[in-house]
Amino acid sequence: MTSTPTPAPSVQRVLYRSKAKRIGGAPLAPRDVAAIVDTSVRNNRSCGLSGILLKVDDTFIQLVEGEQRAIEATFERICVDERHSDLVLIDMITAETRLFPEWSMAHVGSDADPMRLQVNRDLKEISFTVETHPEAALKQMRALLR
Amino acid sequence: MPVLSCIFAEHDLGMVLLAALMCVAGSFVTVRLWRRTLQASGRMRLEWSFLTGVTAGAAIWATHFIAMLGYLAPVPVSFDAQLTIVSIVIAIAGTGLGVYLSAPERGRIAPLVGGATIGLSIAAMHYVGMFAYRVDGVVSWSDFYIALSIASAIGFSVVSTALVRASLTEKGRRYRHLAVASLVVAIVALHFTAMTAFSVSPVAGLSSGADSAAFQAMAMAVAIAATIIVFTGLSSHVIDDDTRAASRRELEYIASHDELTGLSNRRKFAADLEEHCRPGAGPFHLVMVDLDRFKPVNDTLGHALGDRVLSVAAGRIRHVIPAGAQLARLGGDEFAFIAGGMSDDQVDDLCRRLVEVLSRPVITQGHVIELGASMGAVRAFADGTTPDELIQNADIALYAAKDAGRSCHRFFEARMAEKIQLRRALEQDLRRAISRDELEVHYQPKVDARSGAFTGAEALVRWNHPERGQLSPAVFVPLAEELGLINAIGAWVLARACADAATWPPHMCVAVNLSPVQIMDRRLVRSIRKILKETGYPAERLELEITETALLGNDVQALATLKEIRALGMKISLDDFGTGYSSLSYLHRFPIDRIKIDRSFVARSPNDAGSASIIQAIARLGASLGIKVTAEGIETESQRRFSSDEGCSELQGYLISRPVPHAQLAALFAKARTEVA
Repeated sequence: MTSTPTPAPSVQRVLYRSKAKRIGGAPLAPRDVAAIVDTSVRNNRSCGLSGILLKVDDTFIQLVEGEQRAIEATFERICVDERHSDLVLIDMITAETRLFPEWSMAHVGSDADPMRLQVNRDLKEISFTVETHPEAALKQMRALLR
Repeated sequence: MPVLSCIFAEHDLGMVLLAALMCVAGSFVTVRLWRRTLQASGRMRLEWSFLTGVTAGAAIWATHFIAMLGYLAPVPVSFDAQLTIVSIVIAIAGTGLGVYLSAPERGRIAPLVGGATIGLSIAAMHYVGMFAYRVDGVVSWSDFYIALSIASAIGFSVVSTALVRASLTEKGRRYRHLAVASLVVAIVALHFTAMTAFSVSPVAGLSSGADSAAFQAMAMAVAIAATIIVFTGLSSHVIDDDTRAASRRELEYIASHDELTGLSNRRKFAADLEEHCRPGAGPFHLVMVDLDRFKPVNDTLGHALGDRVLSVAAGRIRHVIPAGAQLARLGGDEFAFIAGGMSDDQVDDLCRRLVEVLSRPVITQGHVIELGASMGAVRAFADGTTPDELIQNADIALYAAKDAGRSCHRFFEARMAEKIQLRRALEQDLRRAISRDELEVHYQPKVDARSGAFTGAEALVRWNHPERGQLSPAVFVPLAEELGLINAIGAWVLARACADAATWPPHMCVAVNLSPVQIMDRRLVRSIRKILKETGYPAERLELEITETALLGNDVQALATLKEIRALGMKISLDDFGTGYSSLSYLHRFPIDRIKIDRSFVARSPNDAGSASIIQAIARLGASLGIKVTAEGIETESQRRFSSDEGCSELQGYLISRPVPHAQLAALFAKARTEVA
C-alpha cells in the first residue's frame, strides 16, 4: 500500500517583548494584566493558537504560535493595542511543532512571593537572554511550565 | 352654472366622490410616471410612455366610467361592451402617445403636441364611452358644451404638460403638484361639461331608472381594477426610484471612497474639509500622516503586499483615532484626518500614540515589514482658515517632522513656513546655478608636514548666489542631493578641478569631495573617465575624498565603485575620520589611501589630552596599516608642530592658507617655486 506523505502543517511562531505600560501613560495594574491574559486565552482558543505570556517586572514577553493567517491577525490585534508600549519583535520563525500545544496562553508573572524565588530568577534570566538567544530562552520558558 | 347643476342634480354624489378620488390618485401617479418618462431616453422612454399610458388611461377611463354609473339617468341604461373596450384602448393609447410626444427634445411645440394629444384622447375616450352608453330615451346634445368640453380638455392638458416639463428642472420641482391639479381639472372638466352637453328624456311607457345597486357594485369593481392598475404603475415607479437611488448611492460611495482601504478618498476629504471651514463652524485639527519606508516595501515585495500593508496601516490609524474623526487616504502612503473637539494636548498625545502604533512591525504573508509614520498637524483656525491654507501648512509641518528624522509629529509653526520658502527659493535657483555659471571652485592648499612644501590642494565648491552672496556647500549640497542635482554639480566640480590642476606643477595632486549619493550612482566611474580624458589630467594626481556615510548603506556597491576608481590609478581618502562610526573594518575592507583626521580633534589639540591622544592613535594606526594621514584645520603653530611630530604626513588649514580662488592659488604655487629656486 502506498500513501502520499502529507506535509506536516507548519506552525508560525512570533516572539516579541513590550513594556507593560500604556503608550505615554501609566504602568498597568495587575487587574489590567489579568484582563489581557483572559482575552488572549479566549481569542487564542477560538483561532487555534497557543503560547505563553511572561511578565517580568514591567516587561511583557510573549510567544504566540499557530497557523500563519491566525498568527498574522492576532499579531495585528496586539499591535493596535495601546495597553503596552515599546513593542519589539524579537523573532518570527516557521517550525513543525508547537512548543506550548496544551496552552491557549500560559501566563507566568514575577511577584514578591518568596516561595517563587526560583521562578522569579528564571524570569529575569529569560528577559536578559531572550533577545540574544531566543531559542535558549524559549526552552527555559517551556521549563517554567513543568 | 349648468355644469355645476349637472354634477349635483343629475349625479349620485357618492359615485362622484369615488370618481374624483380615482381621478386625483390616478393623476398623481400619472404625473410621477410622466416625469420619469421625460427623464428617460431611447427605448426606455418608450417603455415608460407605455406604463404611463396604461396607468393614466386606466385612471381616466375609470373616472369616467364611475361617474357615468353615478349619472342619474331617468331611463333604463345599458352598456355596449365592445365600444366600452374601445374607449379604454383610446384612453391608454392616446395618453401614452401624448406622454411620448411631450418629450423635451421636440422643443417648444412638444407641450402643445403632447398636451393636445392627451386632451383629445380624454375627449375621444369620453365620447366613445358615451356611444357605449345606451339609454332607452330621447337623447339630445348641445354643440356648445361639446365644443367647450373638448377645448377645456385640450387646454388643461397642455397646461399640465407644460407644468410637468417645468417640474423637471431644479427650480421648477414645486410645479409638479400644479401639474397634477391641472390634469385633474382636464379630466373632470371634460367629463362634466360633456355630461352637461348630454340630456336624455324618457319615452312614455318605458320608465324606471337605472339599477343603482348593480351599478354601485360595478362601480366598485371598476374602481378596484383601476386602482390596482394605478398602484401597479406607482409601485413600478417606486421600485425604479429605489433601484436608481441605490445605484446612485453606490456610485457616490465609489466616487468618494478609496477602494483599497475603504476610507474616504481625496475628493471626499476635500469636501469634508470645506464643510468644516464654513463660516460659523467650530475649531478642529487637521493631521497629515505619511508612512515612512513604505516605498521600498512596494518596490521590493510587490504591489500586492504593498496594498496589504497600506490597509493594515489604515486599520491601525482608524483604531487609534477617535471614532468621530474623519479619516481619508489621500493617495499612495498619505493619509489625513480631521478631528474636532480636541485640545492641542490631546492631539499631541494622539499623534504620539499613532507614531508608536504605526512603528510596530507589520506581519503579512510571512514577511515582517518595519514601517514608521511622520505627521504634521494644524489647528483650525489658528494656523489657517481656508482648506488650502490648512492643507499647505499641515504639509509644511509634516515636512518638518520628516526633516527631524521621521517617526515623529510636528505642529505647524510660522517659522517652518519661512524655512520652507527659503528652501523653495534656493531650490529654483540651484537648478539654474550651473547654467548661469554661479558655481565656483576654491582651493585650499595642503603642505608636506616635514618640508612644508605644497603637495596640492583640496577643491571646494562655492555658490555665488546673485542675491544671497557666497553660500557654503553645507547649505546647498544636502539640497542638491535631495533634488538629484548632486551628480551634475559633482561632475562639474570634478571637471573644473581637473582642468585647473592640469596647470599645476606635475607633482601636485587635487583632492575632490564625492557625496555618498554620487558613489551610489553607477555612472560615476564612466563620468570620471570621460572628464580625465577631456582634460588630459592624469588619474594618479586625482584624489577622491569620501565620508563614512558613503560606505554605510550599500557597501557592496560602494566597494565595487571604489575598487574600480582605484584600478584607474586614483587615490581615495576617508574624510572627517574619528567622528562617525570610525569603524576600523572600513580601513581594512575598503581601498583607502589616506585618512583625514577630523578638524574638531585638531582644533582642541594639543592642549586637550583626549583629542591629542586620538590624533596620536589615528596617526599610529595609519602608519601601521600603511595609510597616509592628513591633519585638517591646522590654525596655530602649536597644532602644526603637534600633528607633524605625531606623524601626520600632510597638513591643511588656515595657518597654511584659507581656501582661495584658482588665480590666487596659482600665484601661491608660483611664489613657493621661486622661493625654493
